[in-house]
Amino acid sequence: MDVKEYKIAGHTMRIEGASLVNVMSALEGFAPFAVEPGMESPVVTVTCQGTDMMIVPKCERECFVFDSDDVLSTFGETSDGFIFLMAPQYGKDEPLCLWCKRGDSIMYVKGHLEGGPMTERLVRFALWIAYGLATVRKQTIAIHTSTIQYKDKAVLFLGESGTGKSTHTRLWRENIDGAILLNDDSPIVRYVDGKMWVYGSPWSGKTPCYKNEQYELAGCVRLSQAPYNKIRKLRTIEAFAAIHPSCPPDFAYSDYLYDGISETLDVMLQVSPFYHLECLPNAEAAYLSCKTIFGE
Amino acid sequence: MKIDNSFKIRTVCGENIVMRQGHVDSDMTQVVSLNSTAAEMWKFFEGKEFTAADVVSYLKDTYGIDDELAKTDAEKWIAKLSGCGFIG
Repeated sequence: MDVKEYKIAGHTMRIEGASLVNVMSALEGFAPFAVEPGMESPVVTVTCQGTDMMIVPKCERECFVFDSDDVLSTFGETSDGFIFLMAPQYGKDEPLCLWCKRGDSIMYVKGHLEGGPMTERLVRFALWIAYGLATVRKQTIAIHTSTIQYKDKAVLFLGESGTGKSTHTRLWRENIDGAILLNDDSPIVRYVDGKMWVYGSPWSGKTPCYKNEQYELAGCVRLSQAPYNKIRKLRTIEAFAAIHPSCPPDFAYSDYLYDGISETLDVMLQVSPFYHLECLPNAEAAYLSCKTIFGE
Repeated sequence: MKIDNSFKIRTVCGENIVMRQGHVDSDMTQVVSLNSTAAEMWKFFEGKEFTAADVVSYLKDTYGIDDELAKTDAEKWIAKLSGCGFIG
């Protein structure tokens, strides 16, 4: 049987179907998370088996539509679940579709799965959505952030694209002994046994940093560019406003999904300090955030 | 008037939060925190058609305040929520 399984942040994701499994072999980043199939019950099974004969359910309500690098993505609700459609806008590349019933662990993929860079890109993103859908109500969120591991703890750096998250984590790595990049785009945070943990993931943006490691969350820092370095602790409502835009936007327009996100954020805000760092792209900025969080 | 049912009040870390989602490319997401009284009023009136007089009556009945204060507070609550686009 054509099956692969991956354990990401402690949740097992199962991939079924020859063509999808073939794509997985070419996808960078998943290998460190591979596990022996059948050892644990999967939280989500993504399958392409038999989907060529299935009728894709109708999108009843478009929740979130966005165009990224010439692929138009639509996340929406069907009559009894969710659907995610990715449509390349130019060339001969075909769309890829993922759908599931609400609360079901089986997710279906239909589309062109013959390999190539576009297929790999679409499958990678579809799996990110599939993983998110399956885990969002299990106190687990993929956070858009660049993440440092230091002294066996993790620090999340938040901010919209272009704020300088990767620049700031590079400054930590270059100037602070023992600071290592855990993930540069989408680590997973998960609340387990009274602690908030940060896990590396197969999704790390343009930086190939796929670490199957976990660290307790030490703090979150929202970055803004400024002509000076200044840090302050955020109040609860400010912290919520800082972290909310870094949660998967696709899930923000569905009460069912956002209830899961807000439940996890509720715990996250209780256990982790949040800061706002207005900063220059220099070593002093890294020292300042490090000293504030770790007291040195 | 009516509270727009696309908004939902959530409690996060003891704060009563209502979000107005933005859209990609224009991050206009607003996060509004309601105090406990404003949140109770939201929960009472959500899903219902109501008038300013209904809000005044609610405040008088629930908190035993006089007519004048109830009118002032009702106006403030309606104005704040309308200003955020929560009441239509």
